[in-house]
Amino acid sequence: MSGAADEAIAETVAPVPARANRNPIAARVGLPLLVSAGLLVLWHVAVRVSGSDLFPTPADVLLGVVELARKGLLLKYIVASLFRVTVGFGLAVLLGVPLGLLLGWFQRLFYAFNPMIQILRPISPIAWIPVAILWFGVDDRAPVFLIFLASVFPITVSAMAAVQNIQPVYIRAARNFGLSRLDLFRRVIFPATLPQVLTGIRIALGVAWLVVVAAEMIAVNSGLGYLIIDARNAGKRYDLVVAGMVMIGLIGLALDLLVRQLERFDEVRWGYSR
Amino acid sequence: MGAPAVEIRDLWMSFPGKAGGGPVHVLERVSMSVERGEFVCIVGPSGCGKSTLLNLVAGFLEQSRGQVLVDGKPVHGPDPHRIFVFQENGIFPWLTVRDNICFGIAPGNPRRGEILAHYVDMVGLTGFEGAYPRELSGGMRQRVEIARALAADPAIIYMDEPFGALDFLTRLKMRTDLIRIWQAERKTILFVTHDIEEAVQLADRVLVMSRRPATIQEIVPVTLPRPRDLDSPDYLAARDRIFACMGLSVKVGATEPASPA
Repeated sequence: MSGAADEAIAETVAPVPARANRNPIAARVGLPLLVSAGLLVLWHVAVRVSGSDLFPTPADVLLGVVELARKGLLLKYIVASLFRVTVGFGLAVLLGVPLGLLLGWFQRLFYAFNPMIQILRPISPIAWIPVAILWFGVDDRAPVFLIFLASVFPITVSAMAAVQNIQPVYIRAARNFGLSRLDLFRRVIFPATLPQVLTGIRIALGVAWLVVVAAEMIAVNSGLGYLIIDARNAGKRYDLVVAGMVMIGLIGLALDLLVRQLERFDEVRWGYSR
Repeated sequence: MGAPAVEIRDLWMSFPGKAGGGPVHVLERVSMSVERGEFVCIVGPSGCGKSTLLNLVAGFLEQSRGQVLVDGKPVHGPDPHRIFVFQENGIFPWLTVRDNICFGIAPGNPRRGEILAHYVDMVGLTGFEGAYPRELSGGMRQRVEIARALAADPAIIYMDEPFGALDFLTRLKMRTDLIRIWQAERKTILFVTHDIEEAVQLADRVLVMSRRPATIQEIVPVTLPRPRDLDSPDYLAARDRIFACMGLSVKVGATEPASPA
């Protein structure tokens, strides 16, 4: 049956649009660098023209980063923020994924718990800050709790929706092959929902990173959020404020790229290419 | 010869209607049987309930009235001895061709590798064991599903318009291959299609269903030897008889014969 082989070869070699092929590296690396450089120049000129002595130029910010690094604060604060995100977000994944899968599978559980989830979900984690301080005081547990709250809802809801969206044909095929309940979950439901669960995890990680900064401004005295508020309060050091902001942006980008790498695995790639 | 492979006795099926309307009667008084090793096709106008019938026989749905017997025993739910091949392609996109085909083989089966190789070869996918479904064409995906069904070693295979989404040439080739596989494996096959030509090319017997509420309107035996000559007068006669049953003319553009609409 060589026909099948020919057919496959013809279809696995995807046609490349002629336009996308022109200087792909130059366009994909060069253009963003060009735009960034342009914006930095614009920023520099704007500060000089306005004559502001508080708002830093890009060069001031770079010096600020170097100063923080020399003092050993940069690494310390980054580690502090990442630690809180890791714990809070990790707990949210551990609870949210199984909870979402259960709620998606058992209709009665869904009826029972979904309204409560939908009411809690739109409450900004920022609104929980006073409560967190009341419960945990001013230590690591408060921001960890806030990050957990911020990420557990997107994770739960996406896992729940993922189960509800499974193509019925997969469930019927699995039942046809006589799978036990455990095997049905292990061999069909879990892999079938994984792409959408992973998307929920990626969104939640973005939210977690937003929330850690806000939480650190109020509830603790370390981390990138604390750096920003402290630099502002102790001497209007706006070079350090913006340095903190830049670090937050760069680390947020790195986290997102990291999770996006997971989406390239063959076990989940099928879920994104439609 | 014992009980038939599949026997349907006075089967009725209705679904609860939309708000305001009464129940929708889909099947009425359907009775039929399929012998062991037989290839039976069910044809009928679209929406007549032939897929519903197959889903009832497979145990995915519960009938309103009547009985479905497999080997003389009533059917309650699906079973690995009767594998369903789905119209919308039910192979798992997160598994490779190899893992899909092995899905229904018991993990401890010492002949696993042997069975896999046998069916990969039979459906012509040698060299593609490590590929994922998204890398395959529609025809190849349907071959994977057929191989997955065969590898579970069922006595009966139910096929619900399995080639419906394929292009014309691929469909012709899949029919030839299916007949070759069926002749080698001698499974009982119950095959639903709306394509009359397909039914006459494949089946030992063609069951023609009426419009809704559907019942078996006529049984057309096709005794032509295989491989079938699609120009032979007997082939054309069988085909035209089914066309006539369904109230259709063979000549495109001709006035339709008067039918009680």
